[in-house]
Amino acid sequence: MKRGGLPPVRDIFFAGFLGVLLTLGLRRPFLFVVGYIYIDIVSPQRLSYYLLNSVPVSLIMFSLAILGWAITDRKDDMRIAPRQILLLLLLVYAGLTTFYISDAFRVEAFEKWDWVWKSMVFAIFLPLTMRTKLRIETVLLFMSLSLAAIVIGAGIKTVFGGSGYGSFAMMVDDNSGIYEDSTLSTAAIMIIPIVLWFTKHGTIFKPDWRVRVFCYALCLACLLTPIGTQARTGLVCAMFLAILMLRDNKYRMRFIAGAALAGLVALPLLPAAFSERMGTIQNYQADESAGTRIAVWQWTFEFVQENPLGGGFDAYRGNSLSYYATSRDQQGNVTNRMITDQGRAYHSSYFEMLGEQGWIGLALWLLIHAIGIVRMEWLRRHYRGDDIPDDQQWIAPLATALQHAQLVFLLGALFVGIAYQPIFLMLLAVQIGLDTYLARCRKRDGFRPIAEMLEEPGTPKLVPKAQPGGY
Amino acid sequence: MIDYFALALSHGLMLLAAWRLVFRPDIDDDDAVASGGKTDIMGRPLADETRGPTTRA
Repeated sequence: MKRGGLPPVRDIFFAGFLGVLLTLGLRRPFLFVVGYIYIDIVSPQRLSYYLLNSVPVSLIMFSLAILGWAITDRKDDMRIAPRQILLLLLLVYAGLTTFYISDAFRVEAFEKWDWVWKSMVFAIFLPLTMRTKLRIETVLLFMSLSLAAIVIGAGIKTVFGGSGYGSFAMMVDDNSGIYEDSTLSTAAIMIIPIVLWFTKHGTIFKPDWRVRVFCYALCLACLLTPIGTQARTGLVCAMFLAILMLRDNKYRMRFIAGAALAGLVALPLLPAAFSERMGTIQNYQADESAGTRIAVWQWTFEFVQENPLGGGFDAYRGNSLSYYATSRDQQGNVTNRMITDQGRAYHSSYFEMLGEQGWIGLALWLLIHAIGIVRMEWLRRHYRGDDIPDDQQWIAPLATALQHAQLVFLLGALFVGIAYQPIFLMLLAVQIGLDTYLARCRKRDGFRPIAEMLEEPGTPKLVPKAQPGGY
Repeated sequence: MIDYFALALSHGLMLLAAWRLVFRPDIDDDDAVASGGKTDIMGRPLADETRGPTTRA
């Protein structure tokens, strides 16, 4: 850390940006909410040398967001979604495991708890503020642009040949949070469907050629991020997203042909190190990283047999693993090596939940995500078709984009421990916000489920019409 | 240099978006009329050519 002298340009830049945002927030307090989203994703205090280091920017913005909502927002028609209650239950349960179960690694558990509870509380709070269509769009815009601050740099550096897993310099020297390679790659691919939604339905930046050029360039940077970081998870996610996008594509064959052509063109341009690393997806036994994962997952499964309530945050630190890695040299000789490892992380959100919060935590977490997929599918189907008015045309594509983003996350989460990372919890919060917002709109427009209408006295019951002469 | 470009572009767009939102009452209420019609790059409403220049009270 630099001390003394004039503050570097970057410090002044971040302080100026936050200062403007705070000033504009006085006019529109919702900007405090998106200001916190920005801080939670980009962590400017980590990028800054000393100006923001000494100020609790995150706490200030969070307090202002809550205060702005408490003072200025309507609350008479506030809706609490079941998923918010489930998130709250998960938060309480995680708190209980931290305070009462974590034993051997109490300090580390409390370190994780310290940021997890904030990111979960914000995810529960955020949907309450998303009262208008424009607010939903604003949240997504700030999520995308905050991520763009990291991804654009990563994309350009990849084009100019800088790459390497764990060595890809992206503004900060440490490799944690969103700046961890696999996490960043998963987030970058996850945001693509949302960015594409802005090319057609944005209103803050109306979709013209400039918006489209920026969005497509950002998507390209997102796709380049897994190449630059050499994170295999990102590549798997990108392929999965391409398959998902076929669902709503009118020109499927053209899309497949285009993707195949792009792949063929890109393949020779990829750095050799990237191709070699991606080759280990098939030959996973030769790779220590993949071998460790399987060994850690086995250990976690055995651990919860004895500790069904979970071991609290960072319980993995107690593991000691031995496994064989098989490798083949250039002459084709196969060698087996015994590798012993200690305190290896879960490398999977599913096993992270299982090991830390036990069966109860895993069940809650899976339920939260399953409801998200189902609800987005319901919205997708309810708001599509020729009879949907023009002012509701944005809904089905957004529900689809949020569902695809979540599915990409759930796939990436198989290989990375990112269950509590703020940006992914924010995605859940936006889903909940969209769902409750539309429920409020339907209620205002007089929509009631058929089952409820049929229960009213005096409602004629539906009887099948008699068919004269049979079929 | 690349980092500064990425930071300037993304943060510049966020500031522009925030500035435009100041002129969008529909951020707090769906029914409030957004300053629809044509706007300049900062999001301020332009005078409607068919009705002549707008006047302020």
